[in-house]
Amino acid sequence: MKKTALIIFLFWLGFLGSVGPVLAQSKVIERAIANGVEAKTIVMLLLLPLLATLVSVMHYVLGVSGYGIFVPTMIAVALSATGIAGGLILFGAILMISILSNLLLRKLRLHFWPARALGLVLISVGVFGLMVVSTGSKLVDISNISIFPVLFMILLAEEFTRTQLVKSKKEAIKLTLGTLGLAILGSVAMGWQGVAEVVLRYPEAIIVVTVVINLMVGNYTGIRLTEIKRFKKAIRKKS
Amino acid sequence: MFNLKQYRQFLTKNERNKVYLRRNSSRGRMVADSKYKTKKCLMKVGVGVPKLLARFRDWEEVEDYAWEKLEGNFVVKPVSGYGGEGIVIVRRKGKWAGEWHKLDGSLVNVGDLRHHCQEILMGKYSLHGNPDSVLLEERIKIHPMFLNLTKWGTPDIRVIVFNKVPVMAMLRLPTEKSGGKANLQQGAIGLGVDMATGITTFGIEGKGTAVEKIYDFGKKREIKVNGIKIPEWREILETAIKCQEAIRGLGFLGVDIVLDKERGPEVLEVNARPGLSIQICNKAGLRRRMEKVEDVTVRSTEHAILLSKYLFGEKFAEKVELKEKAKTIQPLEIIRVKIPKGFAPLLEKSPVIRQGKHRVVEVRAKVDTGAFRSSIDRNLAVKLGLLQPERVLYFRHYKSSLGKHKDRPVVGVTFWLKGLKVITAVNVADREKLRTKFLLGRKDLEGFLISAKSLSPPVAGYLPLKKGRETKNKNKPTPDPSLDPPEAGRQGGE
Repeated sequence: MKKTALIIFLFWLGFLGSVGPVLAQSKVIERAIANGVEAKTIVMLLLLPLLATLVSVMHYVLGVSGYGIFVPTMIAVALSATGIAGGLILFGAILMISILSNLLLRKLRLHFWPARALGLVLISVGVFGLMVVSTGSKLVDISNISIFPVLFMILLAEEFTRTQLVKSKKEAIKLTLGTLGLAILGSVAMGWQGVAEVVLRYPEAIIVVTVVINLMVGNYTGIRLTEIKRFKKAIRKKS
Repeated sequence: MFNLKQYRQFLTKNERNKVYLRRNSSRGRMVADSKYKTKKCLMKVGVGVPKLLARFRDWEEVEDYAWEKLEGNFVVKPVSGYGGEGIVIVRRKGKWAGEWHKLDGSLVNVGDLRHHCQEILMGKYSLHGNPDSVLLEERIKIHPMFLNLTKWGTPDIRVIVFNKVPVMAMLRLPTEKSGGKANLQQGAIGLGVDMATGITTFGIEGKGTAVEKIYDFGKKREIKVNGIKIPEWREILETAIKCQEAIRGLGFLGVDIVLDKERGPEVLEVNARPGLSIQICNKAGLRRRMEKVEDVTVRSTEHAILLSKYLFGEKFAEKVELKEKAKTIQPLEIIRVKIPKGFAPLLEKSPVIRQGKHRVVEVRAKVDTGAFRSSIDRNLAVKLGLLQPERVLYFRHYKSSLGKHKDRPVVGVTFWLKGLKVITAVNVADREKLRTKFLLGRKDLEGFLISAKSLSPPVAGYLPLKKGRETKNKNKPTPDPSLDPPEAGRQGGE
């Protein structure tokens, strides 16, 4: 197992060794920026895999997890667009509306998808209302956010109701909190000024780090930090 | 502080997914994920499964089905559901046609059931919301042993089978919190089970809260989680092993088995990704156990059960086995009969022994499975104070094998056979001319095995033999068979 990992690793190093410098030396990035590609978009694009790596390390080594890998990553991007406080308020509102609408719609006994569509109507109206209200308040302003953070938040709220239905409320709350925690961590890391600089200056380093970490985590079969706590009860005391 | 080495025995999530789930081919997983395919696969090899009443693949089949004809005792479940979701259990018919009572007593009608089927078909309960089909099954009659342990659903037994060897098992009890589902994720109680004996060991609730006591609805008090013996344990293990043989491509699986009152073990579901909490309620690591059987070539079911028994049995397993061995009795046994309190026994030969707070006397007894009730000699009963008028329960008309008709008194007697206390009613007969003054009927022999191999009379005990005969016996180690027939012919009883 370890040997194959090593081979893959060396292969990747060779590949990157040939591609990385080309990427850096030809100053592709600088040229792209000069041609009108937004620097922020490039940073986001390159940070996306790093963000996903962070989520995967947290999941496989620490045992903290959210809804899969893409939902936390996307929420992190959404949070960095809306700001953490604004994003959380938005999510809270969407979650509340979707829970309430589910309670309401259950009584109507509709088909599955029409019920979802009706739920979306309520959420849309709610978010619109929130936008109108937030222009008046000085604390958080979410009046001019784009549609994508809203969509991501709806996705998260939907995952919450689904998990609550299929598994349990406790599990749903745990996973949602995990997702939000990972997303906040990710958005804080993304917002850090130094990160953007490093990404723009050494894009190949970011890729190498991502690949190395994921190959290592991908072959990790050991215990997760949270499992130590879980299995502690399963250890018999020597009598 | 903590020693990481001791965690090495456990199968972790990472290792399960990366190493052990690779042994399950996509074909095997496909069968396991569909309850219908599992059922078909298992029926072929003769493994018990709940009886299928109908299967609906589309809305028309649901509409066309004659729901009104169902008498109750059925279950509606999604083919690809998981975690026990989307299952509706119907217990009995309601007052009107097309109306039934669910397990919790609430009413459900045809419309509700059709709507539920529709939701299943739309994929509400399947993974990723894929379209699904519906199974309509007969409800299992829960084994009476489990009825007292929960009242919210059907308890089941999860057995993990690896390389055709059952490696770990747990008894899962649905709770109020789990909504009647036997799923630990949802808050059911899991009790670890010893592989050798089928006796429970430790308990957890949900994903990891330790449980020491559970409520027994029969005894109406809390009982310890350990020491509950699961009936038909061997059959359960056999069923689990057969499942792995039947569904090819599954090297590592969890089998969910329920015990039916009449039909024995039946497989509810086969799980290609069994959970890991089973290690906590057994306080044992799956990884260490699986490593032990990994390279073994399993020859047969019998071989697998023996492997499981000797590799994974708890320390107490041997004691339990010894105890069960002690339950084998011989045709002639010494029993200890309790002397009623405050009675001075009129014995000449046999000494009165103290056993705990009781006074007992040793009596030689003969096993007679042809008789229902045990009988005691009138003389002996008088001497032991068992025939005092207030001890006589009733008189019963008996017909002896010689055709004598007599009313015999039936008295309450407590005795110990192989150390096991038996409280019973015994009839008083005239056995004065017989060598054994006590006859053990089959009513009091429940749970004992009778070994007819050696017929050496027990040495000590109440042996009111004639002197001449005693010396005769001393010369001949085995009793003269010619002496026995007349006695056997005169055996009283029913």
